[in-house]
Amino acid sequence: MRLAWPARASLVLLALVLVLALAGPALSPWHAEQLDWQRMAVPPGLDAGHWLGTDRLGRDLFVRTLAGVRVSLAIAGLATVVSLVLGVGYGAIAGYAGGRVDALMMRAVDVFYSLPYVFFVILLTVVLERRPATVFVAIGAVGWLTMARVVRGEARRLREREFIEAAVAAGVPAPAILWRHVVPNLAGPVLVYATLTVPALILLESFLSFLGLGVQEPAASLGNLLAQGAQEMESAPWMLLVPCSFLVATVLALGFLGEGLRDALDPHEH
Amino acid sequence: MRSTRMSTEPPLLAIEALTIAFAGAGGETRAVEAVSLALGRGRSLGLVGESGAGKSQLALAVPGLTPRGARVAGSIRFDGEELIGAPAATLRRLRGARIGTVFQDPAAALAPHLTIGTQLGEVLAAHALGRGRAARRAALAMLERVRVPDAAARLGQYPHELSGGLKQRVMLAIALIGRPALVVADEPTTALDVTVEAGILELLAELVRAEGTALLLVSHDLAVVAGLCDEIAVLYAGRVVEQGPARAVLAAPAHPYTAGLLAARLTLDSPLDAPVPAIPGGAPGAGPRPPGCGFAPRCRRAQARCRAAPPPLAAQGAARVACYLPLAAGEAP
Repeated sequence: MRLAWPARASLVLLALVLVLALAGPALSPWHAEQLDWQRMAVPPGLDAGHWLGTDRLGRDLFVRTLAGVRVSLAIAGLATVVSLVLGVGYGAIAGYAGGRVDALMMRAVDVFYSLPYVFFVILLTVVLERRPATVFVAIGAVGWLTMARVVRGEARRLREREFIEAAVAAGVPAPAILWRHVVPNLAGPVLVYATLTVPALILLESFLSFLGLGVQEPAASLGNLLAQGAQEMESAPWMLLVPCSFLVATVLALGFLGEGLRDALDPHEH
Repeated sequence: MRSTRMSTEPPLLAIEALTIAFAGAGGETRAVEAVSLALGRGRSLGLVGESGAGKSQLALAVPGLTPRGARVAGSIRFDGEELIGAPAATLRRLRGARIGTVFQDPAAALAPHLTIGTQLGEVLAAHALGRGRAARRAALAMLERVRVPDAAARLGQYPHELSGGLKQRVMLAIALIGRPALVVADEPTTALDVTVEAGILELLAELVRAEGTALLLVSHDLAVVAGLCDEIAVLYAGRVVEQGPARAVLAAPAHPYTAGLLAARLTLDSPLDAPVPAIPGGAPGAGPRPPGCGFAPRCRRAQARCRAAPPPLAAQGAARVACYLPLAAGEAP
């Protein structure tokens, strides 16, 4: 498998963001919820180690943004894993079983799809506490639906392949056929779709946090940093630009990586 | 030669009035229509016919591999057990353990992402015939029996690392590792080079003979059936037109279609400048078929009654023929 250069460049950029998010805060003399009473809303510079400036309460933006990247990536990553497990399991069973089972299972997905999503999240945040875990549940509940559809279509195609028929003819039980013959052959499209799911879920998390439905202060996420930055946009543009550039870089890189993977794994492109 | 019909024990496989039909835009297509066949233990039956004659559909209906959406009527009894309408669990228990299946194209029928050893072991595990080291030993022994060279190393290899002939040997091993009473082989050498075909057929014949396994072989090659099978059934447009002991049928075909097929064979001493002999016309396509004998539109001997109602199978010498005007021995079609 050979990735095109944008995808390879994206891999490097992603690795950089990840290393920064994990190791970056340790480099700064500040930590994410620490207030610097002397320097509130200072622009980026070398002054007192506030490399990317501070917010209105004097908290270091470099550290807060990286903490936010960590939270956003963790939520999106975990939700993607959940959507992988649920979506692949559900979709593979529906697609392989076919017929009435398939119709019933996919109609259930359609019902979930048609729920008003933001309303559902507001309900969740009312019922549950407003913690990253709640956002994670809210995102995970929706993330797997599209994955299930993608996988179901792929499984339906696979079902007609002769090696599956040969396994049936050898008396291999259906669960074993699903696990050993169908699921491994889903790896390509699933991998591609998962790479494209992460940025979509990062954006979803940011959107929820921006609306105040997601991660709450004083914890940082890209979404609530953007929300604060947007309020100071005219007097202190760096408060918006710093988290914004991290969000854009991460989402773009993941998008390019997904596209690259899709092209590299597409048999028609060779 | 002892005929299975005359023996007292019931045949291993008894197909009665089997019809397999597919719904289509132009009406129902009957891929197989009112076919009755029997196969005794340890005996072999060859199904021959042109593409679309329904021979593969007929053979694959035995292990219950008829495509979804087909209408199946009639009866298939295997070892006294009715298979049509049987629960999925019954079919699963029989497949691989009592009925082995060899597919046409081993490159498509072997799972590309699993090693040979895994695929053989899977059959054993599915029927509780062995796991772990015992399964590995059994898989190795089976690969050696189908004469795969360097069998121990092959267990860890993937299908794409094997040649076409070796892949089909592995396919035979998968079909036979459960020691089935019946092997269904659907054109097992069509996808292979002519040079490896003979080796595979010889091996298949030897294995079923050694194990006393019954063989249901689908082929469009009369020579293959003549060499491998005790009995033959010639199919045309979903119906059996002639059946009987392979040698007798091929020596003196009574149905004009069988005779035409035989005449259409080329041999090494066929004159190079003469046109290739062929049966005029083409096999009927999808859709409802006209009443009468399916072969009548292409048959030079056809009369009005041939087009009115299909002729029943009637005894003719050692064979049974579905023709109002069967050929006498040696008569040209």
